[in-house]
Amino acid sequence: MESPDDARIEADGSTLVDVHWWVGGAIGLAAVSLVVTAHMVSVARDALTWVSLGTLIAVALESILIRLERLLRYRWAAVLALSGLALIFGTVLLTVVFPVATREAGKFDTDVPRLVERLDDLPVIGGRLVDADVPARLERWVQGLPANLGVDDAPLQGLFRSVLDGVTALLATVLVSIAVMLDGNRLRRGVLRIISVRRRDDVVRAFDILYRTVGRYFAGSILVALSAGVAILIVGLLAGVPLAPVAAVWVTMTNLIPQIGGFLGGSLFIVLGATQGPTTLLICLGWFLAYQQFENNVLQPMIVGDAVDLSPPTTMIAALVGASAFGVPGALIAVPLLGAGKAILIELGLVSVGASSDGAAAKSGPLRRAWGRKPNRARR
Amino acid sequence: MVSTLSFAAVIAAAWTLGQSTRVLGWAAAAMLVAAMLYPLVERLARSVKRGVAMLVVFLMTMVIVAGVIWAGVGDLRVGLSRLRTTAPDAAQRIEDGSSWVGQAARDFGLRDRTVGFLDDLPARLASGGGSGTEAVRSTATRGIATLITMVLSIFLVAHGPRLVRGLLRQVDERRRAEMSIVLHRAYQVAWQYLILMLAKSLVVGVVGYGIGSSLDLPATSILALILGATSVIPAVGVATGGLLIVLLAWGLQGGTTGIVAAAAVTSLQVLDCVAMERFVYTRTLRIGPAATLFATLVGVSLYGFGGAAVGLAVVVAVLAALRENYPSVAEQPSAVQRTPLP
Repeated sequence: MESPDDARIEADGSTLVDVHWWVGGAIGLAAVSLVVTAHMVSVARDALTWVSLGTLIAVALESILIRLERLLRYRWAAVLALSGLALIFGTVLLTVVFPVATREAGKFDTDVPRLVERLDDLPVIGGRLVDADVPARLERWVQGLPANLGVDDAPLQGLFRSVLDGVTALLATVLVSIAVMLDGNRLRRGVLRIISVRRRDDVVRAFDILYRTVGRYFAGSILVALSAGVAILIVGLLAGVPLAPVAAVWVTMTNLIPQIGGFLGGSLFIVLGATQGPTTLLICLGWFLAYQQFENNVLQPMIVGDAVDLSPPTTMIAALVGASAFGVPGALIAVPLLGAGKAILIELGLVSVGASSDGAAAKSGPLRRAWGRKPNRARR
Repeated sequence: MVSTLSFAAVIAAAWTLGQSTRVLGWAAAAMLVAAMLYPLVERLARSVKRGVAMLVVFLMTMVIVAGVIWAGVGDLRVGLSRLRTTAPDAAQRIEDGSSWVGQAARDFGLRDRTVGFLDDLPARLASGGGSGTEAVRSTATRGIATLITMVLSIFLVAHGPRLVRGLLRQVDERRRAEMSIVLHRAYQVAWQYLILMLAKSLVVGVVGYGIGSSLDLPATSILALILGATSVIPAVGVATGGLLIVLLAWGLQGGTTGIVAAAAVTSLQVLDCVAMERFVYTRTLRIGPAATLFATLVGVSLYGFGGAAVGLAVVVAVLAALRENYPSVAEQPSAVQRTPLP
């Protein structure tokens, strides 16, 4: 076999390749750029999180936006209408939830000691909690809370700063969402401008897969999580479960974690219910198990369906890695990105796979899928 | 041996860059200042000597910046003293309410906490939330940064064109002319965009000052400055910056004034979209809110407000260069059509 001009075979049989010094320079430059980029990403982590979350929300709302755009003719009118609807929904939610939340927060200092008193009566784990000094620690923390807030201003300043940070993050995320919704088509055209004509259709297909997978998974997961939170809040308030809003928020947050989210969220709700006696415990347990069945077999397949075609361990590892890197937004984005990556590789023929066992189900309607097949994200 | 040395050099370069992020920020700011002032110096140099032109342009820039800071700080001081009487009254009004909001405000001790917060505010602003030593250190650092940025800008205005020509000489002759044309046109378009955006910010800021003054709001020049700065974000910037005016008007003067402020800000946003932004786009290039917002958010996180300006300039320059280099695909729709989600 003939060797290329810049390679020669030595006497001992080994091949010596002559690499131009520019190659080394380019690799060095790439390494330095990588370090600088990593530094910039670590410094601008908050901003990048807001940008990612805002972009995700915009992608998730794209299908509604396209329909509104057809109705109202102009994209800006569709964005304005959608933003107005979101504002009205947010205001109504705040008006309904905020009084309940402040009332529950007012009961916080009476609810927690009552809860602490009942912790040692809990079946199975009560004794262990007492051994670990959990009730006494909780009581000390609650007793110290009013004094800390009243005399020492530091916790209050921290709270004020947290609220301010939260408002900034919310405003930035909403702004990015609106900006991406307004700019979506132009950004898409802009990216296509720098792609060669030969590759353009592949990129368009990849875009479509990405936006379908991410949008559907993200919007669906948020809807399912909110639904779980509302279900827990209603039953918690009706059954007199202490700190029901806290449990509802916890269930909503953990619902976004695949496979173990349901167990994580439900365990707090059930433990809180157990402090009110065996009847409340049974109500909480029964409701939670029934709701999980409904969510896993009806709601989840109907709303999220097979947006991502990944195995349970893959979704779980992806979500955990995403959460540890970027918190809740990371957990949300990791799974659909991985799913979209897989779908793009398959679509472009870069990897080959066998016939999907879910192929027939995927072609059927959502209700038939809901009853006719095991959910893809069998999570809980 | 060579590989080991190369590896060591890469590590050393990465470490050095990591340690000198602040200085690199100053250099980036100096490049932006020089790029913005260079055409003005060139134009003035047609009438007077180049050295005199540079001196005049830099002095005028410093006078304008110092004037804005002086007006802003003075107005902030007056505004703070006004807030000390109006804010506790507004807090008292909220506490007097019979709804759950009033109850929550009473439980929180809103009036007393507002008074305490405003008493501490001047000291916090003076020291940036830290001790006196930290305040002195922070002021000294800012002074040094300004001086270095100014000197670097002067050098870059004087030697910038030679540096660019030197860089272009590294490219082979065939591509050099083409690259030179693209860079030159991109620079012209980006400069015009930034100058027109600056002018637009000024107009929006002046109108914002008028709105704030007519509604008798405190620290009007700071509110106008914020409104002017956020107005560089197309389509949503004026509404975002105007939110503060609306909230202050609503909180301090009542619901009716809040509605008037909201109407004024909305009108200004509409005027910005239909007239001012179109004026800029037809003469330069169109940059949407998403790219502007990404650049400013990341820039603010990296280097504060100067970083936002540099970030915006970088994005404008890159997009201008891309526009010169790549044909539009708007007229060549793809074979794959976009459909809504099922």
